[in-house]
Amino acid sequence: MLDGVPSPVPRAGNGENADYRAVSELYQEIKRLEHRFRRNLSFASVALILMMAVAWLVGFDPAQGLRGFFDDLGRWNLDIAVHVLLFILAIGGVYSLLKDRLVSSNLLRIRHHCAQHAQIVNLDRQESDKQRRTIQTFQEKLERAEKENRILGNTVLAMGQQLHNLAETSADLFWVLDESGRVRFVSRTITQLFGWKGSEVRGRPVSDFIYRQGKDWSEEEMDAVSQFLQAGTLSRHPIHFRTQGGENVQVEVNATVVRDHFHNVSGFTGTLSLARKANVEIDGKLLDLLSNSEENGYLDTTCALDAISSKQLRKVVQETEDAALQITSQIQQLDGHLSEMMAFLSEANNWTQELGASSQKQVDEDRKAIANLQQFVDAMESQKKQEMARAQEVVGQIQSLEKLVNLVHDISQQTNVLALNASIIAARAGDGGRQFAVVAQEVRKLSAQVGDVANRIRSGIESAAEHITGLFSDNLDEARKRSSHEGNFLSQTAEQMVRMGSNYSRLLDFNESTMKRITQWHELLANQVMMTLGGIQFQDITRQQIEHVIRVMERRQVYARSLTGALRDPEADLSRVSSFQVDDLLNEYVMEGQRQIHLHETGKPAVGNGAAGNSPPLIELF
Amino acid sequence: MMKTIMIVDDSATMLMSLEGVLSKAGHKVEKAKNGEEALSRLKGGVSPDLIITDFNMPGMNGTQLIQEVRKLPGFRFKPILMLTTESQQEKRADAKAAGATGWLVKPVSPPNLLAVIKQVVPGA
Repeated sequence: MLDGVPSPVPRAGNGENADYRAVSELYQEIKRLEHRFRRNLSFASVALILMMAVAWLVGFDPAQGLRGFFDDLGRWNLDIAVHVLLFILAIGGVYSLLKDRLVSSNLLRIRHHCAQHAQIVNLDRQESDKQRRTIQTFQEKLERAEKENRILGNTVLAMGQQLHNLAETSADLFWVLDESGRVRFVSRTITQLFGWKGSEVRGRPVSDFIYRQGKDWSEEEMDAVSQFLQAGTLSRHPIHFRTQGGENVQVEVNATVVRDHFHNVSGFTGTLSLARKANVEIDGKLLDLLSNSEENGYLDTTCALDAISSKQLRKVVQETEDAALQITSQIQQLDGHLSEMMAFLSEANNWTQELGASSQKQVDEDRKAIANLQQFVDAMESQKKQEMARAQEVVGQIQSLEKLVNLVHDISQQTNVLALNASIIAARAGDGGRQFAVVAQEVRKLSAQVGDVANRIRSGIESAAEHITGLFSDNLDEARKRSSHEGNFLSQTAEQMVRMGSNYSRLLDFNESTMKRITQWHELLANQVMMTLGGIQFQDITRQQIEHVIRVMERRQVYARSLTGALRDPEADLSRVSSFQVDDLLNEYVMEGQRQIHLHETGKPAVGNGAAGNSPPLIELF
Repeated sequence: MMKTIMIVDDSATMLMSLEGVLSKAGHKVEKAKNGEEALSRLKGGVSPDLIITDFNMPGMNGTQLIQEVRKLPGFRFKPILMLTTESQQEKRADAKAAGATGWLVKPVSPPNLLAVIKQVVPGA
């Protein structure tokens, strides 16, 4: 009924295209709606026509009817009701007519769109059919390639299995990330090294575990990342890894970029080990091997291995240089300590000698003092002797006085006798002799008194003599005892002084000999230090040898690559392959030892210097 | 007696080792990493009593250095020793022709080195 629209109704396919089904359903739906609206339209039109007919049959005049309606406004009448109904119907018909126009134009537009969409879907279908055919051919090609690569695949599988075992048993951590940096796989070592469980780490972005100074990536880190992506491998890159306990541990990362067939990044893989491991990372190299799945992968991996090895060797050179530096500084420190010690010892020695000398002086002075004392004591003794002698003299003199006293006593005795005689004579003389008798009596009294006095003097003299003698003999004994004591004491002291003096000189001698021995040892040590410093030269020789090995590896890489190129090209001229004569190396050697090794390994007789058996002198002055 | 000795070698380790040995023996030591640096120091007024140089160095090698040094005023008869791992006889002869005083093979033991110095440097 509605024209102008081509209706290539798409048949719903074999259930393959959902789009098709949706579109065709929509189309059917629209058609149904269209029908319905057409029905409505027909209904409305028919209703209107019938209405007009009925009105005409009942002789209805719309104008009159309207006037009558307004006149009869108060009356509720069937006529009015019918009039109203007819009026409503008329309005309804008109409305529905108008709506139908609107709706049908919309429907038309929708159907147009549907048709277009159907066309597009059809085209798509054709397109997808073409694609399916392309895919089919591609799949056939792939099957063929797969058949050819099945052996490689099995090998890879076996290697993968080995790798997995290696990963689980390796002391290093094995890891695989997807292209967005989330952890796809970690080996069990993660628990041993860092405390995380595998489940805690898998699925999380690896940056969660890497400690960074700031919040954002630094310039160096960005450079390292872009270098890594370009080079495809990363070797022994130091980072800090966060453990479960919250610590940051220094580790070294080896990484390789894994690419798919279209050379897009499909992930990353590698190993992680605690820092300071100087061993070659075999795990990382195996992964390297696996990821290099290009056709001549084996030759390429040799080159890659060489590249890694030469890097490792350079590291060795660097590390030995650092070690040599450390050793030297430690030796210098040791030397410094030795010098300090020697300085201290010399000072101590000087001090001891001074002390010894002053003590010696002291001892000498003491000895002199003692000698003086001895002299004094001796003088004292002789003085005492002199006094004794004098005392004896005095006693002698006193005793000689006694003789006089005896004389006086005798005289008094005689006088007494005379007086007695006189008194006898007097008595015979009678009265004239009485006065004489009195005088004789008086003389006898007097002589008696004298005799008394003489006795008293005698006893006095005796007692004085005794007293003096007694006094002096006491004194003399004491003095003799004391002087012998003093003498003993002084001589003992003098002996001690002598012994002390000899001890001091023994001490000084011992000190001197000790200093001599220490000086000798110091010289020996200083010599050892010098020899050790000289020994550091080894590092330079090692470096030269290693650098030579690196050069050989680089030469081998060049050789291998040219071989690879020749192999890839089926029409290659193998003579173009750069020649690598092993004996060319002979010209590059610096040390005689290197030359000897080369000749020995290649089974050639020794030529040149070593031939005659006499090597050139190590030191030659021109 | 204390002498001034200049050492020329591209290996930091060698410089350290020789400096240690020579300064322990009481000599003053000047160091240079390569031929150019040594020449500029000599031209700049440093006047050592002896020069000890390596043969294999980047840029100027030892023999070339000796040739250049012999051209400087005051250095025509100064003792210059070559201390190197190089063992080819021709290179030894070249150095002798260029004016080297002696040739020592690395590594050299400190007593030997000091004995040689005593011999070639007057008054050491």
